[in-house]
Amino acid sequence: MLFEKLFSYPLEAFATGTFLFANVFQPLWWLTGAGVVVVIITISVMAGVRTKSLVWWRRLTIAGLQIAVALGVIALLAGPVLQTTTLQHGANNIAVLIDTSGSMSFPNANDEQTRLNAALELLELQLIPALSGLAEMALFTFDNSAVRRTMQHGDSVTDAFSIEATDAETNLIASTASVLDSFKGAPLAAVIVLSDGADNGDNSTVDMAALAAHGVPVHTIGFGAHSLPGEVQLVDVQMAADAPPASRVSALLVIEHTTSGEAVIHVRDGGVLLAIQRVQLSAKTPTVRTEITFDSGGTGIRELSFELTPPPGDVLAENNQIHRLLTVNDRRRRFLYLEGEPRWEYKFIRRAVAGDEVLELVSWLRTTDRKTYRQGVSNEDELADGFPPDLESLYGYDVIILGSIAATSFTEEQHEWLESFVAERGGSLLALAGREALAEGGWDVTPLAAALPVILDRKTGPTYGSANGTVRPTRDGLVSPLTQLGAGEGADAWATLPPLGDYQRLGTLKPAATTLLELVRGGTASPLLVTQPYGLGTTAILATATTWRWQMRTPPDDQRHGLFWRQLLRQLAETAQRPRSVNLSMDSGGIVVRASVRNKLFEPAANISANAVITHPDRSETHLKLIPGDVPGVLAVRYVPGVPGVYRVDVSIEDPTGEETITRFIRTGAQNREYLRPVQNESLLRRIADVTGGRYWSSDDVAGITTALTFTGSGIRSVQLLPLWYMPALFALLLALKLGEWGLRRAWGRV
Amino acid sequence: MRLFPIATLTLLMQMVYGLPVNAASGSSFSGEENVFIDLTEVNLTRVVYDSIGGWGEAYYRFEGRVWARWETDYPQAEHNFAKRLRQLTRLNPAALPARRRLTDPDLGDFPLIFMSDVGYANFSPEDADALRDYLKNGGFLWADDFWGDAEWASLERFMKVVLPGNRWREVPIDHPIFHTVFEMDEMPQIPARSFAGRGLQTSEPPWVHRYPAGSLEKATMRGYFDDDGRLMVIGTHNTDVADGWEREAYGQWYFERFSTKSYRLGVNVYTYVLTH
Repeated sequence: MLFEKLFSYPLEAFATGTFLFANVFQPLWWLTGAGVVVVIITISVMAGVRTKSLVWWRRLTIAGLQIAVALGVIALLAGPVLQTTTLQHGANNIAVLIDTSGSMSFPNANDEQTRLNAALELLELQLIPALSGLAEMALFTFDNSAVRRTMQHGDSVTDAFSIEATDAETNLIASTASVLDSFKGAPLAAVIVLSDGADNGDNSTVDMAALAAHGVPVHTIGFGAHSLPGEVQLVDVQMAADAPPASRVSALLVIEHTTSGEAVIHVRDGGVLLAIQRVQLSAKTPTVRTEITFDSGGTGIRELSFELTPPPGDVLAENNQIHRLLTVNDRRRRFLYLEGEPRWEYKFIRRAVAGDEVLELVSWLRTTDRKTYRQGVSNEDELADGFPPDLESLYGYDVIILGSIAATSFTEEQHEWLESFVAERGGSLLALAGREALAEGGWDVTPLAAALPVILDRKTGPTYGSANGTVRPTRDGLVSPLTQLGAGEGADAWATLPPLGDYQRLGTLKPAATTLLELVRGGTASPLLVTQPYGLGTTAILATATTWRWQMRTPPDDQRHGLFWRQLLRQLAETAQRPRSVNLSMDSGGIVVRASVRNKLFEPAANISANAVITHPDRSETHLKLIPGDVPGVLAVRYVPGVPGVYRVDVSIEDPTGEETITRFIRTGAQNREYLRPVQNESLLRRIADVTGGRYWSSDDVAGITTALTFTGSGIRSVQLLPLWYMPALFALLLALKLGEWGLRRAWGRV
Repeated sequence: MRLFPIATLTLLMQMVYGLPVNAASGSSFSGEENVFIDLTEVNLTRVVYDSIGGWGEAYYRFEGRVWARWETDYPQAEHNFAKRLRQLTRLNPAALPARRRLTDPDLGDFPLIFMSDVGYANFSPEDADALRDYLKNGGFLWADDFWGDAEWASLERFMKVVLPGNRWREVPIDHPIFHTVFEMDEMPQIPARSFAGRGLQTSEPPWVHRYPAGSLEKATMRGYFDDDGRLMVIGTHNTDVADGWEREAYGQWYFERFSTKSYRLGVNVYTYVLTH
């Protein structure tokens, strides 16, 4: 190494050492002497006869160079040394961790050798010889946990341990932390990790700070290529865990790739093809997000498989498929539709959801100034007074639809209830256009105005009237589950719908608002369907009341009007909070079953209990009791699953109002995440090294690791004084200064 | 072929009597033409249709002008009814009525269509196909002012073509269509103003209707129901509901005795159709 030749010692020595002068016992004398030398040189040069012919700045330059040389000589006479600590040979341990997870069976950077074999070779040929005199080596292998290996003298690493890559996932940080923990009290100089950096374990309990807290440098040696040309992988599928029957389900797929071409996505439930979609990949956009929709089908569980067929040249086929579970349940969603006038939109919305297994539409219609007409009520008392009599009754609905009904139809208290229905109960509210809707109905001065996705404005004249325009989905609308008309038809399904016949001008959109549909008139697009989250719930505005034209002006077999309304209302209901809910998730500790229970006012419920029956893939059962945690109204339990497969979890929740059993499903062991992002994760390896005081090494060049360990390791160390006076760099500097002076003198006239 | 003598006759009448003539084609119709259809309103819509026969059948003379069968009571009935709907209910009816043939491409913009005096109606297969699609989409047909057996049979024949496999059923008085806004305890019989008397008799005479008229005594509402039990067609037989609207100003007693019933039924039917 050039640095070491010039400066006599490695960089680590300078980085960790302290600079001292060994011969300086009276610093004042040395400084005085140096000052005298500086003065003499300055006077002799500035006022000297030989230099008299030079202009003043040239004399000053000559003086400066002579002073620098003189001070350098004085510094050498002072005995410069570097005080540092080095590892005490033979007194420490060095832990070496070899990653044996699934991804280490992939090819190393540019050769046929696997990453694991490359690591073992490096260990055997370079590290063991280099470390043998330095410290006692403790060897570990790890995938999702670390295991210590012992080796007899003279054994080769491979022969001794029969080390092979496993199918297991990698828990790099947690494994390193556990090795550090195992050396507590023992002198540990450093940890060396040989890995590709793939860490797909759950590190929620072990973070980088915890690693750094051990005070032991972790050196990481990276294996594997930094990119795989042609590789295409399906990284993630994001979708709801459950859906109502016969609805359109939307899933967001994340594809990462290093190629161009057409990929094809198939969605299957078992062997049944649900959807197919083509995706164009471009090298300019290495991450592609695409939405795919399909029918949920009847009630039950869908074992969905998302399969990616990549363009030619894909490296790993194992990362092209992701499994997800979809629970289709027919829990009925209750809608309250408040309408101020008999009109066609009301009729056709009711017809669109009639007979639906999920949607229960309760409507209250003002037929005259004094008479109302109720439909869909569950009993004679429901809506008998026109509006739910109390907050509990109002909260019993999942979604409220506000039609053409003036704000003056409701009391001040009812207006507050409507706002809290969205904000606190977490319900959804859909406002339709109409001659007494939104701004025309005076809703701009009600509490609900804060929840709506637009700033209602009626100062600029009438907002509602006749119109003639076609509907166009926005980019958000094309992928939103709220606005799906059919499989794979996209914007075409909207373009061929009959034009709408009315429009209500909306005010300024609020920052959180998302426009899903637009009305296009004469080339100008206006927001038509706008949504926004508000509090715990969602609000939406549909600025028309003539979607009934989509039913009446199309052939009888055209189902788009019904599809639109069922999909919109179901998805609005899906986002609405439920009083009792069960959530399943996986972490390194197993399946986490979490039940959330709220009372009728949607406050965290008290006096609750919950029991879970977990049905294993082999149909055997485990009974567990959920335990209250820190969060009010939430009970949870963790279960460690055995064999991989689909687990059914029936959670019986009991609260003061009654008992309910909610069923959820979860799949374990379906996805080996080792195949995701199969390139070397250098950034993670660097981060581990940086936070612990170690260093990242490329597997091609680990020659300096012994030196680095000598000067930077922890453990038992001894103090060293390293003389610097014979440092070649110093002599070279003095020589350069003197030569520089000589050269200038000659150039300026042999002075 | 039959239209030529009819056209000649009507032209002669126009020349001799200077009477306005209303052709079934509607092209020379003297009422609301080129009415702008505002879909934010509920449009009262009259069906234009052809009728069989000639003078006294497809056409008749009344109050100084010649009427085609389809335009009986039109447009005054709709004018009055729109006003009353606005007055009595929260509906937002268009002030001017619309008229359409069954085969008009924008028939779907009018989810409730009304036809009157259908006893001599002559519908084509295209009419039947168009009406079938219209009804399947959720449209609603109200046929009014046809009396006696022959006129009933005429509409029945047509509807068998439109909705084969379905059939007329009498709509009982406890059906919601009689109670959506106003409580009704009977199906009212409304005679045309010219046949209305102050006695108990409310039916029209048989000689003004298609032969054989048969019984004209009892007014009924019959309907076609869809698969979900919703009415999609009603025929108000042996009654002239629209005349009750049209002639509301032709005498206090007629208004109180007949027009009020016509309006009650009209409001109930419209409200039912707008909610089912």
